[in-house]
Amino acid sequence: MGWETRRGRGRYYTRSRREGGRVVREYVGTGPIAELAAQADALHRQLRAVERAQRQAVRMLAAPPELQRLDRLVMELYRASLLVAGYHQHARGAWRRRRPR
Amino acid sequence: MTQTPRPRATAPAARRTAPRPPRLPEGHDERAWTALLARANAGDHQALAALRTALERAGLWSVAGDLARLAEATLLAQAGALAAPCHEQLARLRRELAGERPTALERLLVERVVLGWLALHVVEVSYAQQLGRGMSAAVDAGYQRRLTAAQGRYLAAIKALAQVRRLLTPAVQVHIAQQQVVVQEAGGGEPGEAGAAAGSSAPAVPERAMSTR
Repeated sequence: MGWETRRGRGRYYTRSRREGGRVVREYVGTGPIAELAAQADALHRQLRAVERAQRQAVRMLAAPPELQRLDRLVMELYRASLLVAGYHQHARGAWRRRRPR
Repeated sequence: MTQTPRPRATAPAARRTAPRPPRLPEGHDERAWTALLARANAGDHQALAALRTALERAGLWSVAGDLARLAEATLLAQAGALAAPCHEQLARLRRELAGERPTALERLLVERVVLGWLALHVVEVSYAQQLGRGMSAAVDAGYQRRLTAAQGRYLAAIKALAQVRRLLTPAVQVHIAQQQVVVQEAGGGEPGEAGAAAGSSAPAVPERAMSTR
C-alpha cells in the first residue's frame, strides 16, 4: 500500500492485496480522492493494530500455567483427603459418608 | 581469519533469576493418581491405603506450596501498578480465611481462593480499563470468556474450602442457656450478685445444645 510517482502524471495511490498466493496491486487514483482513500486506509490499519494489541492483552489474561497446575494438584489433594477421611463422591457430585460394611 | 565467540554472559544470569517450576515427587504420575482416586472412591481398600501413604509424605504438599508462590508472582506481575495494593489485600484475605489453626489442606485451599481472587481481579480491572477505551465485539467476547473462567475457578475454590470445613473439621457444640433464673438469697443479697453466682456455677436451667454443623 502506498504512493507511486509516475513521470508527468503526479502521485498515484495504490493498494496491494494477496489473491491466490499472488500480490495484486490496485491503482486507486490521484488527487483529493486518493488522499482520502489513503487516510481511510491508514485509519483502518491503526484500528487493526489496536485490535491486535487488545486481543494479545486478552490472551495474556489466561490463567498462568502455575495456577492451572496448582488447581489440579490441590483438587487431587482435596479429593484424596476426603476419601481417606471416609467420604466418597456420589456421581461426581455431593460427598457422602461411606457406610461401614 | 579467526572467529570471536559470541559472548554468553547474559544467559546464565537469566537462568539463575528465573524461578524453576517445582517438580512432582518421584513416581507421582497424574494419570495414575486420577485412577487411584477413582478406585478409592469405588471403595478399593488398597487404593485408600495407597492414598493415605501418599498424603502422609510431604512431597505433594510442598510442591503445591511452591506452585502457589510461583502463581502469585506471575499474577502480581500481570497486575502491574495494582501489585502493591493487591499484595496487602492478599495478606488480609489469607489471615481472614485461614483462621486460627488451619490444617495443611485448608492452607492450600485458602491459597487457591486467594489466588483465584487475584486472577479474577486482574481480569476485571483490565476489562474495566478497556471498556473506557472501547473495543470490538470479538475482544469483548474474549474478555467475557476470561471473566467466566476466572469466576468459575474462584467459586470452585471457595466451595472446596467450605466443603472441607464442613466435612473435615471436628464438630463443636455450643451450649446456650435459654433463660436465666435470678435467685434471691436468704439474708437479702442484691439480685444481681445472686444472678452472677448462678451463671458461674453448674447450670440449673434448661439448656439447648446447638451444633455448628
